Amino acid sequence: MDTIGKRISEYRKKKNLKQDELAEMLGVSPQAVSKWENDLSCPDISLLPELSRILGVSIDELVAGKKEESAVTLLPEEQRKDLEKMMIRIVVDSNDGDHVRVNLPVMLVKIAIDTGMSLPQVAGNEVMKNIDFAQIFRMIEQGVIGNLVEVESADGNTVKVFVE
Amino acid sequence: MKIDIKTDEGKRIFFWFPTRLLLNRLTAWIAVTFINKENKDSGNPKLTVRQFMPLVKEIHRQRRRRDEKWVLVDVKSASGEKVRIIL
Repeated sequence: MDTIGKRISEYRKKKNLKQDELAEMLGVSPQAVSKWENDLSCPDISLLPELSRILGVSIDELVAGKKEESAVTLLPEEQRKDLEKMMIRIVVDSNDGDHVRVNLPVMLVKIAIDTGMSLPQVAGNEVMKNIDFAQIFRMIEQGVIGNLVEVESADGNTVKVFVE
Repeated sequence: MKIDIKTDEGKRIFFWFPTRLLLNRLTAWIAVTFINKENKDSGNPKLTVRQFMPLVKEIHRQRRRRDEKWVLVDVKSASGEKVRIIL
C-alpha cells in the first residue's frame, strides 16, 4: 500500500464498498474513484475529510500511509512529567456540530476529586457520567498518558479525555 | 480572565476581568449554589463553599505558574460562534 490509490482501494474493500458506492457517497463519478485507485489521478483535497471518514482512517494514514501512534503510552518513571505541569484536555463533540474543549491542569482535577466533585456536576453532559476521573488520575500517577478515554454515545456525542 | 466571543456574523466581543475579582469566596458560593441546584436529584453529596475554595485557590495558583496562556474553555458552535475563556 505505497500509493494513495492503493490505500483507497484497500480501505474501500475493507469497508465492503464498491467503487460506485464510494463515488456516490462522495458525489463524484465512479470513473474518478477508479482513476484514484489506479494512480491516474488524486482525490481533490476538499474530499479528503469525507473520504477519510467514510473509510474510517485518518487523513494522515490515507495520504501518507502513517498509522496513528498508539493513543496511550505508559512512560517509564524517568520520563514522566511533574504532575504540576500536566494537563487534562477534555474534548466534547456533539452530534449537532458543537465542539467544546476544556483544558484542566491535573492538579486542579485532583483537588476537584478530593473535594468530592464529579465532572457531571459541572459539565452536565450525560456521556461524561460514567467517566471515573479518580481512576484516570490513578492512571496518570502510574505514568499513563495519551488518549485515555474515548466515548461515543448512541446519539452521536463523543467525549475524549487526553492527558499530556 | 479574558473572554473572547466571535459571533457567527463576524462580530467580536472581548471582555477582560481581573481573575481575583471573578474567582473569590462570593463567586465560589454562587457556583456551589448553582452546582447543588443542578444536582438536587442526582444523589451526589452537596458541596460546601469550604470544600470548593481549595479549587478556587488552585486555579489562582495554576494561573500564576503558567507562563503561556491557559485556554480554559474553547467552544465552537455548529452555527460558527466561538467562545474562548483564557486565564
